[in-house]
Amino acid sequence: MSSINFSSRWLCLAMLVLSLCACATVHETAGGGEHPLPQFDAIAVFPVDNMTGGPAPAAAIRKHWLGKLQDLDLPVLTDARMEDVLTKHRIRYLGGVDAITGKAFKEEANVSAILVTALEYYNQADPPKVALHARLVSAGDNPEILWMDSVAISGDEKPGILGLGLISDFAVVEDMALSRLQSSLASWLAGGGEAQPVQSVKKYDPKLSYNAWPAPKGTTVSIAAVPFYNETQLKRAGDISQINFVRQLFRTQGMHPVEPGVVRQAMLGMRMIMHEGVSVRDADVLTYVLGADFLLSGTVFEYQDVRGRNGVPKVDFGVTLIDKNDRRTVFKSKSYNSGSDGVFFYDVGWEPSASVMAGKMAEAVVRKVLQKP
Amino acid sequence: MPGIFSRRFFFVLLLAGLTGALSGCAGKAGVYQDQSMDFGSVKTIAVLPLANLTKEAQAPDRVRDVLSTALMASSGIYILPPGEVMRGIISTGIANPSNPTSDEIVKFCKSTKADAVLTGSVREYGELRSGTAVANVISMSMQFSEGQTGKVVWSADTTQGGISIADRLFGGGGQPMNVITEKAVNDVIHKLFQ
Repeated sequence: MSSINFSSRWLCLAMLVLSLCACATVHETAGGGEHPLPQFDAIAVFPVDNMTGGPAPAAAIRKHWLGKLQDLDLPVLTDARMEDVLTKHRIRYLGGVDAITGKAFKEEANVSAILVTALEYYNQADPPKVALHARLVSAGDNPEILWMDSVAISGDEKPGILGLGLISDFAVVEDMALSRLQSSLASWLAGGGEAQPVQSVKKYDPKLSYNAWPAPKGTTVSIAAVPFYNETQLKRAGDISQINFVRQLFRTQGMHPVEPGVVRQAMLGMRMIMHEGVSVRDADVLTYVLGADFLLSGTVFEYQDVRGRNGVPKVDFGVTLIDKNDRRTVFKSKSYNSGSDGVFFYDVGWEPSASVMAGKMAEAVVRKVLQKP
Repeated sequence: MPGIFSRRFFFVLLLAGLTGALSGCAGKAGVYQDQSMDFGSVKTIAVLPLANLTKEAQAPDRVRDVLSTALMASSGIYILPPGEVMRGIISTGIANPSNPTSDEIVKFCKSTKADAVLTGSVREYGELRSGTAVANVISMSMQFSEGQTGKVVWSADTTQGGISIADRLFGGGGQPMNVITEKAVNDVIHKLFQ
């Protein structure tokens, strides 16, 4: 009798712990989203968008990436056919998919989805580093993100005992990064996009925040993220920050980010020039054109990765979320971190990649938005 | 007993009392506040671009971003987004946004529906060196102008960071710039709501 009581107590305790854990975490999909898995007629793999601000072997990375995709038996559109469509429609922007591009590929090449890949950071010198973003966007009039993931690997991220875990060959790092993306895509294709609890890391939380998020219940809110106002020396830090947030919004249940290519097309159509960020009038028009409920913008002050073993990566940005209905800021935050934050002994907790850090900081911001004010 | 009530004891006591009385007469250090202004009526503020008196080109924008977020987070006051502020500056044609005239402030507040504007300048931002000791420092001043008349109703300044005794003895470079900026901004906000 006592043993039954004892086991039932343990059961109750376990249930309590599980329920508390469920309360403490926000469920995110592992690159999944809420779309049904489409049957692909063909997939167009766009050339890798070089966001590094310098020369990079984007063509070689794409070739390697195509090899990984062939392993998944995906019906990839031939380069010649893709070039035909790009040339015919004078499509030059390959960092996203807008309505014109989506429609052209759907109608003329019978493409179901377009794979957009961006190279954020690349360094062949020891320790080698690579940071990549990839997303699969549906073709057609209304491009939507189907799958999205990012990966950043540094050769010195897991040095291990006596430095046995150090990687000095860039090819190894590149292969690891592409294999991770391949694995994530394969998991999504197999229907493995179920909600997974993700634990937050306290040190990446915003240092200052104002939250008046209206918390719409039972509906998925549409959020358009615009490129951040860039105050860094990295030419495309604003675009990189935008992609980081799009990825986090995509992974969060109840949030639906607008494809960045569609946002770009709308901004160009409106001749929108951001003077230190988005004005209320711009936000009003942009949310109306895109059919979005909220507009996410911000300013990136620092986005600094380091070459070699010396130096500390730093990321510093502010985020503003504007509500379409009352045309007011409902969330504002300030985040800054360096790779050495919270490191006291033997480099435990050291973060060598600005990309990973920015991703975690964006995740913390999105989590903060969802917390009750 | 005579030791306790000696003349010297009474003199020290008198000096302490006099010092306390004089410090009570003093105003808040480095703060000007118009007593006739009802700060409770201010609901929306625009933080205009700050003047940069430092060598660091990003300093005003960094401080402004922290100030805007901290003001929204710590008070019930709504801060206009920076893009909206810039739209207002362009539409009202303010020649020097970091130091606008009263007329320009009135025009700007009408255009953006702000109740008041915050202007200011960053006087020092970055590393400070003294011998072998190095530490970060920030020094800034802020003015609060009312939107209907453009009159300055509050003004304050603050300096945070710098080389401490510990920095001189043990080195270390002081606190990170972001932390010091937050401290300075919090000090300014504290003075505003005092």
